[in-house]
Amino acid sequence: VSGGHVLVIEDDPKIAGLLQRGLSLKGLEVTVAEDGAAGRVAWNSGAFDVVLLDVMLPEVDGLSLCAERRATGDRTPVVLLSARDDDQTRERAAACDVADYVTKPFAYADLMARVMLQLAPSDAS
Amino acid sequence: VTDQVKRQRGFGTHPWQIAIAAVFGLLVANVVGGLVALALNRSVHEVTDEAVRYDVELEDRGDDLRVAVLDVRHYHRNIAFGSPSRGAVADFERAYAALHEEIDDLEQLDSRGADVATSQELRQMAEAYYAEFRPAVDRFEIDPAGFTRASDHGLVSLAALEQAAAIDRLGEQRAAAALHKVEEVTAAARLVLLGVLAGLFLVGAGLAYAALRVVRELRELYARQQEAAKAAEVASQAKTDFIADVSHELRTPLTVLRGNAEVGLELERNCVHAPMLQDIVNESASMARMVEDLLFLARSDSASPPLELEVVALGPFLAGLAGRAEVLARERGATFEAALDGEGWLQIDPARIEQAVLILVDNSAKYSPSGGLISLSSWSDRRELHIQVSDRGPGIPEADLPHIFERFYRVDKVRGRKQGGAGLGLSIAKTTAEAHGGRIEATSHVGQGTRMTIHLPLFEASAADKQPLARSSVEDAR
Repeated sequence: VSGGHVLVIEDDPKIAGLLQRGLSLKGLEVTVAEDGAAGRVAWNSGAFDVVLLDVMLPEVDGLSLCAERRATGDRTPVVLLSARDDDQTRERAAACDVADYVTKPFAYADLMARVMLQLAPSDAS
Repeated sequence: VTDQVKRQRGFGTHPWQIAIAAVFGLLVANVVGGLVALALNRSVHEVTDEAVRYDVELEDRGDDLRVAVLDVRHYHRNIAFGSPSRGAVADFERAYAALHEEIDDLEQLDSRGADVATSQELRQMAEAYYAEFRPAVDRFEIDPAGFTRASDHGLVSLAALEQAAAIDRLGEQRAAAALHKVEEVTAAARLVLLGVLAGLFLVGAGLAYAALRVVRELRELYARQQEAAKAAEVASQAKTDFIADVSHELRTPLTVLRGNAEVGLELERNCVHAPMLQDIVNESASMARMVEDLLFLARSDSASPPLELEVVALGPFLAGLAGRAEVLARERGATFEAALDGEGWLQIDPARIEQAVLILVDNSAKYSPSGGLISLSSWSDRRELHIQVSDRGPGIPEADLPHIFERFYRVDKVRGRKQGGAGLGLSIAKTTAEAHGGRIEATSHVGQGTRMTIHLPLFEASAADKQPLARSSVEDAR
């Protein structure tokens, strides 16, 4: 698998650690942000191929951050991680054009496959 | 504590004891009152009867006596103012004998009036009169003056006798005495009846008190039960919340555990640690499933379970269900056959219903011998869809059958544990069926197999509701 840069915005260090380890193993470069504010800084400063975004974050919540970035014209594919699976969250997710939506608890292999899927088109082009 | 409670409540007797005592007292009072009234009635009756009879008899006798005295006087006068002929004297003798008889008759009657002559006195008076007048009659021709004297004196004696024989007064007196006696007895009866009435009133008061006590105790009991029910509800809710919280909290650690083991496996497939990592992956996966099951059950307990309802057409839904059931049965090494029938629509959470049916298939496969036949069939009637899973496994003993839908219940404890699964499956299937307004039933015969049936209400909507769905499902089918 060729390289790519993934931004992981996740406040649970254990989940973040797992994602970092797994994505690194796939040969990807990984940047981890521990809350919404840090995530905003990181997302503003660099170009990423995929953003793995948790919904429930301290400071700025994931969906607001996503909407903020979309307003600037950013089209980076976003894979949303959410503990909640209600209609409201789904609607907001659709509104800021997320590429995929994974509910916690997620199966690791499944999540990896979804992230790789987002990287596949850019690989092809 | 019990004594204190008793003292607080008063006499320390239970209301039912008071009630029974009061009812018993009422019965006794009734019997006693009845007997007393009967006796008094008889007594009054007798006294009255005696008084009346006596009165009548005295009056009769008095009349007869007076008539006899008047008869004697009549014949006395015949002799005195006519002549003492043989016929007149004979008449007089007959009248006198009759008077004597009347006096004798009177003697049989008890007449002890103080101011009235007794029969003996009357007899003496009659005999004295006769003894004076009768000899004078015989000597009428010899001593006319003596006859006239004796006759005049005799008339005076008869007048006295008539006076004395006025027994009416005695009768009156006797009647008055008897009436007085009747009054006495009646007064006594009134007293006794008052006593009985007072007794009845006491018994009634006792009953009323008992009823009040019963009502109060019932009210207290009801209040206590309400409190206990509320407490139990709170406790149950707390337990459910706890299970839900714990299950929720277990999700992330399990994800991390499994994910890390999978990363480890990916790092080096052929490492010596690989089998251990694979075990961790498998066990954390089954644990994650169990946590999800617990969470579903806990949420179903506290509210209606989280369902994502859709209106689905039976045909495509059942076809998809059968496909997944077949895959599962094959994985488990069983033989599978399906006979699907049924028309109409369901409003269900398709994933949950599918899960429930697959639980039944999985159970059948688990307990059937390898290669055993599992049948999935369905049919519908006017109101319900019936989905049935049957096997030819060992069956479920009758004693276990009522419990199989309980959480963590296993028929064969040892085997169940060996084959995995926490014993939540049937409980989830039941909760799911009931959350959809349906139900689940199991019939089984040991040695012949088990049949589980899920009944779901068909969705009845207006034609307008169904139309777009019907069209889309036809297009899907094409």
